[in-house]
Amino acid sequence: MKALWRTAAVVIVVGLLAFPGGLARAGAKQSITFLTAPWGVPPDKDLLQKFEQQSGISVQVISAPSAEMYTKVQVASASKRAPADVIYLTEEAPSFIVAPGYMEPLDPFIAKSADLNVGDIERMNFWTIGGKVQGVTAYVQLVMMDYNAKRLKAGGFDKPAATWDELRQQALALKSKDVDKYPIAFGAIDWSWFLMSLSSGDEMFDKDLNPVFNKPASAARKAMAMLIGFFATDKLITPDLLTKVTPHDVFMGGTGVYHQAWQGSLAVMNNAKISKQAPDVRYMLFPDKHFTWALDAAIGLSRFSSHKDAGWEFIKWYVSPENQRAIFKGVGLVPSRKSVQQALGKEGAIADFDVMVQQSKYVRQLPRTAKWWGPWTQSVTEAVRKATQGQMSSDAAVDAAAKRWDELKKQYQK
Amino acid sequence: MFRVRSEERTAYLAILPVGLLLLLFVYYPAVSTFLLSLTDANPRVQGLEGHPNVVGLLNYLQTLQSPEFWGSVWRTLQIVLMVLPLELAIGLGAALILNEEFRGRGLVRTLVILPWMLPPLVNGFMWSWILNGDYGALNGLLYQLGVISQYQHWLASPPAQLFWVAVAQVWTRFPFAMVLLLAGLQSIPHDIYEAARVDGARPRQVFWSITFPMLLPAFTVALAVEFIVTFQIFDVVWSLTAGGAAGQVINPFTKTVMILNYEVVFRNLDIGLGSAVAYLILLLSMGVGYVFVRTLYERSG
Repeated sequence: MKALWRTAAVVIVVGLLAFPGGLARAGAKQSITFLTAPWGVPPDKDLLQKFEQQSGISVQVISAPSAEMYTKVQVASASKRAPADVIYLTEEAPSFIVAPGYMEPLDPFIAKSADLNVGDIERMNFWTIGGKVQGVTAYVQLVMMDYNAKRLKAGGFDKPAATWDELRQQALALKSKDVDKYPIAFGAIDWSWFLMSLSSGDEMFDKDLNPVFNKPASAARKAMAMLIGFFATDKLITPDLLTKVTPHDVFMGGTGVYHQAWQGSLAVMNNAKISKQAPDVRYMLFPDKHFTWALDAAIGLSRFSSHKDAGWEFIKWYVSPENQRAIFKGVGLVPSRKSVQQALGKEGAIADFDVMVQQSKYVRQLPRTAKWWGPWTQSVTEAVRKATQGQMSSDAAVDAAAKRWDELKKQYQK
Repeated sequence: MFRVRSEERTAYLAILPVGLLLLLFVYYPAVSTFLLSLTDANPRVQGLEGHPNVVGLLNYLQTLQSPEFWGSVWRTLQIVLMVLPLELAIGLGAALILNEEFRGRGLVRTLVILPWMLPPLVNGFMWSWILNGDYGALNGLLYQLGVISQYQHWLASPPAQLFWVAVAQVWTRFPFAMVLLLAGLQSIPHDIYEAARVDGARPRQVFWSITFPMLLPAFTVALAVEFIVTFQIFDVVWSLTAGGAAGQVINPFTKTVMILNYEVVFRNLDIGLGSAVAYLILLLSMGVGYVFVRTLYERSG
């Protein structure tokens, strides 16, 4: 008898271990996982709880820095497993996650979801790759620039610089007048070079994805030389930014008058609880030719998820007007829904909305969906950092970036 | 005769689970990694349905001809060369002190091994706060003591980054060397010291003629283990200077062999090439480790 009980207990335990989903099914509640960068975590917990109660879907949110997120998704997907049911697509995700085919095409889900009102959502074309929708735009974002108007005025300047040369002269003056020892808050990273090159009028790539930034006397070469000079000779950027990924916490800590920002950054930079720059930060149009690039984020389904319908319900909720408003209120990200944007604009909730609209007219898309874009950006950052330390010239850094692009393109197009 | 065979069978049965686990989690992945290193496997290039091609030893040749690989080896060796002497010297000093009788010795022993108990990532983050150029504790302390007149950016230059990585690693690992050397010290028979004292030996003579030679086996073990650990340093670099916590940026100035391997495999998903890099790291660390151990064993012998 004892042996019988023992055997039964072992069978039950093994059964539970082997089929843990059985319990969840018995409770009729589905559980999904949502892998996201920290700023994609739904900020309004009550709203999320309401969704969970109404839908019967419980959502486990897994937050990871974007690079770690790409690693998780790549490794799991390469072995044909779902890293999570729903995945947030941000920064270099188009190259690392979408282009290799790790996402589920959403067209059939969109077709049967009139309640999504997809026509209201901007920039869906960016996430349409290979003719299929890979994600629903969660927020729209441009790389922007902001500045501290009060401190700029303390240096004797009433308006922000209109050219990069003027910006450099202003920054040198701010430094010499002791307004700020390090008046520019840019990272020693690829982004700083991209934004300076694009806004100086460089197209960077031709339509066949060949680099043009390395042409002799290109605007991108001049931009690289100026960026390296900011660090190495002019000393206009704090050395702390040689090892940091973004310049935002340095700027929020009170260092810098000019800052590489994003669409929605004013909500953070002018929040006195977390930023020493508050309340004087304003947007500006990028100097010279004004061009920038877009970094919209989206949310999509893992190709290997076994809870795609539940995941889709969550996605619909995530891009709903209510949640987009909550996200804007919580982290300042500009909603992808035109209706919500317009409403917030009318309410005066989006600071410097007019500059944002003006900047959005100058967007030159970088080839972020090329499979080799992610690995390439890493090598650009390496070249920038080596040049700031005098280990290579700015021209050599540009040439190294072009050479690496060609190598990767050849490898990936074999 | 039967009893002996039965004992043997019992012995084989006893080691069977460990043997199976080793086979499953060590030897199988090792063989699988080696086979992968002979291919151009990269799921991002070939796609999920594609198959890698066998390329023979091309990945090994490519790695051995790569300045980036040798650059990472050199950076790693620089860290090793800073860490090992410092770590063993501090470990020995701490072991000698803690081998003496004094009040509260148990408490001090516990406190001294605290850095070892903290996860290396936590240590790395802790040091990045200490060394922060704007609000770091080191700046605060040195400024208040009047040693510096303005705050310094300790991690600004590449050599400084390597140096501080070494310091953080020493801080994390010296208790391990200390524990080994303390055990070694306690195994030295007290009679030998008594005899030396009776013969009128001075403390320095006692140390160089008795303590140090008798500690050499423990030293050898500490050196070999710490060489391997430091050669494969990852966590401390990652959290202190690699800049890998966000975005795509890996700092090139502290890109050690393991960080390079991580980048190739997990960032670029170049699994074939990364497997070759892993094998070359294994061969390098085994080779240098062997030379270390061999030399020291010969000396201690």
